[in-house]
Amino acid sequence: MKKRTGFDTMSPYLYPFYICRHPKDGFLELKANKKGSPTIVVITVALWLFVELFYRAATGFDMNQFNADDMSLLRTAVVTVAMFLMVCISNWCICTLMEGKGKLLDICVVGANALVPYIFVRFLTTILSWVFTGDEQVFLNYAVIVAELWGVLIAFSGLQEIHEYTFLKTIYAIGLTIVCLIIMFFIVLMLLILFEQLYFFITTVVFELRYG
Amino acid sequence: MRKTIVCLLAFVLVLTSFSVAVSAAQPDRTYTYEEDTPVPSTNAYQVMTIIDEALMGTTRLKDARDIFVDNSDRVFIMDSGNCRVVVLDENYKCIKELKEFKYGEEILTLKEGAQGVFFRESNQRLYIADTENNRVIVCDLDGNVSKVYEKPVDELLDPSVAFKPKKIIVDNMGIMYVTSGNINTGALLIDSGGSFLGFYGTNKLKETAAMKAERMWRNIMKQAVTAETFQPVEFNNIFWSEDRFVYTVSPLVESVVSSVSKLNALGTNVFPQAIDLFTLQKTRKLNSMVLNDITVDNEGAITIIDGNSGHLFQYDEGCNLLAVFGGRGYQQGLFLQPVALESDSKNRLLVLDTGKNTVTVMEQTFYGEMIRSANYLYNQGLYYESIEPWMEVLRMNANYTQAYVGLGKAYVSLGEYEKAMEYFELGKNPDGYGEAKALLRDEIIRRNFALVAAVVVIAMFAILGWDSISKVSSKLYWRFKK
Repeated sequence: MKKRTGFDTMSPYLYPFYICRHPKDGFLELKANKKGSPTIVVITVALWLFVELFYRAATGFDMNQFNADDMSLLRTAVVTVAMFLMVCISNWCICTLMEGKGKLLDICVVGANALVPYIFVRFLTTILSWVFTGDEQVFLNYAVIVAELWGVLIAFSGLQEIHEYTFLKTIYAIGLTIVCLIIMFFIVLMLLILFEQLYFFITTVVFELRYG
Repeated sequence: MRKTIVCLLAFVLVLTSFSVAVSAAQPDRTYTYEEDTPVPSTNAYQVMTIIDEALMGTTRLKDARDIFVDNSDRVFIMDSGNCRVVVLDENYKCIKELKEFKYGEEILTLKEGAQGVFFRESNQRLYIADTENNRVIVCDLDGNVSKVYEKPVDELLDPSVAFKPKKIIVDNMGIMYVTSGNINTGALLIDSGGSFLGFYGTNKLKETAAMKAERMWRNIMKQAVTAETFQPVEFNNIFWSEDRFVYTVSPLVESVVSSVSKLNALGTNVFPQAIDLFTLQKTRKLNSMVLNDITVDNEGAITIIDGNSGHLFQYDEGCNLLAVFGGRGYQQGLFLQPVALESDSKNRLLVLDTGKNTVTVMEQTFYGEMIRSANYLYNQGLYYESIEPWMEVLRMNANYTQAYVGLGKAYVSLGEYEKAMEYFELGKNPDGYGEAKALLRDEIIRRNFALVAAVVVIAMFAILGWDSISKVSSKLYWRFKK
C-alpha cells in the first residue's frame, strides 16, 4: 500500500522543498513515479552558480573574503557546474559497477536536491551579511555549516534510495566515488597538459611551414 | 608641401635649441606599503640643501660617524676621520672646529674612529664618545674639558672587556646612556660622578625555529648547549627624545623581539604596535637592512634609516607608516652610505652620508606636511578637523589608504554612516566598515521599527505556514497548466 504524501498534487517545482524536509519519502516517490526532471536539475545547478557568484560579489565588505577584482565567471563555473557533473559521473561510474539501480539522471536529481538547502541558506546569509556585523558573523557561518550537513544527509539518503543500497554499502560507494573523482581529476589534468603540448607542437609546425 | 615640412622642422629645431636644462631634481621615489605591497606615493620630503665643505666653509668631512642637532638648530658633526667635532650654526656655516681639548694642563685629542656626539642643552656641554681611546669626553663649546669618563668599575662589568663607547645620550638628570661596542646587555647607565648604575633596555630575545632545532640536535648528541646562540644583540643607535623616551634601533635579527623600540624609564618597549621591519624584509625579499639611526621630530614622527638601501622609513606616533623615501645612489636625495640621522626644530631631516661625505638636509613637502597634520589630528581623535587635510592628501595621492580610513572615521563621528562605509571600503578597513554598518543598522531599525517588526513577523509566519503556502501554489500551478 502506497503511503499518502502530498507529492501527487504538488507542483514539480516544489519537489526539492518537499525532499529537503522528507528526504527518504521524497526520493522514494521520485523513483517510483519517475518524476525526476532534468529541467529542475539544470535550474538548481544554475541557481547554485548564481548564488556562488552572488556570494563572492555581494557579501558585505567587512565579511567578504574574496577580492572583487579577482571575480571570474569561468572559475566559479568550474567549481560549481563542472564539479557537479564530475561528482555525478563518478558516482554513476562506481554505482553501475556496484549494481546500483540508479540512472545518471537519478543521480543528478539527488545531487541537485542535496544542493537546495545550501543554495537557500547561502543566499539568505549573503543578504543578512549586509545587516550582520563582526561578531554576529559566527551565526551566519553556523547556518551555512548546518545547511551543508543537511545537504550531505539528503545526498546520502537519496543515493541509498535510488541505488537500493544498505547503509554500509552506501558509505562504501561514496568512498569509492571520491577515489574515482580524484582519478578523474588526474586524467583531466593530464589531458589538458597533453593537449596543450599537442597544440604547441601543431602551432610550431604551422609556424615553421609558413615562415621556415 | 615639402617646404612646409622643412619649415616646421626648422621651427622645431629652433625651439629645442632654446630649451634650458632642468635642474637635477630628486627622483620621485617615495612610496608606502599597503599590506606588504609597495604603493608609489607623492614625495613627502624634498632636498633643501646639501651641507658640503663649500657650504660649511671648512675642510671636507672624512668618515664622519655621528650628527646631532640642538634646539637652536646648531649642528654637531662627529668627523671621525679628521679627529674633530664640527659645529655649524643654523645656516650650516662652520662656527667651531674642536680638535684639541684642554683638560687642566693636558691637551686631549680624539683618535680616529670616534663614534658619537651629544650636546646637552641644560649645561651646554658636549659629550663625545672617543671610542678608540675608551673614554667619554665632556667639554664646553670652547674645548675646555670638564670631565673624562673611563670605564666604570663595577661587579657587573667584566674587566677583561674593553670599554668602546659608541653612541651617547644624556637624560635630564645628567645620566649618560652609553652603548659600547662589545657589551650586548644594553646601554650602560653612568651618572655624572662616573659610577655605573646598571644596564638599560637590553634587547629581549625569542627562540627562533633554528635555535630550537639546534638545541634539540645538541640534546640528542649530548653536547652542551652553548650560550652564544642565545646572546642578545647590541644597539645600533640610541635617541633621546624631549618627551623623555629613549628610542633604539638594533640589527634586524630574527631572535630580537623588536629591532625598533621606544623605551620608557624602565627600559620597556612602549610602542603601540610593532614596527616590524624584519617581517617586511622577509616577506618582500628585500636586501638585508642595516638600521643605522632613528630620530623623532617635534610632531612625534619616527624616522628610521636603512644604511644598506639608503631608505628612510617614516612612521607616525601610532607606528603607522607615513612614507618611505630616499634610496641608494649619487643623485640628490639618494644616499651612498647613510650612517646618522637627526631632525631639527623645523622638522627637517639631516642625513649624514659617509659615502658622499656630506649632510643632506631634507624638508617636508606640502604633501608631507598634510599627511603629518592629518595623521596628527587623527591620532588625537579630532576626526572632524582632519577631514580637510585628508581631502588635501587624497587630492595629491589617491593611493594613500590611511586617508580613506581617516575620512571614514571622520564621517562616523559626524553620523554620516553610509559615506563612512564607502570610505572604509576604499581604505580596505573591514573593522571600521563593520562599526559604521552596525551604527547605520541601529539607526535604521530605530527609525523604522514598525516596518522591521512587521517583516520579521511575516517571515516567521511564512516559515510556520510553509505547507499551506505550498498547497496553494501547487493548486495554482495545476490550474495554470490546465
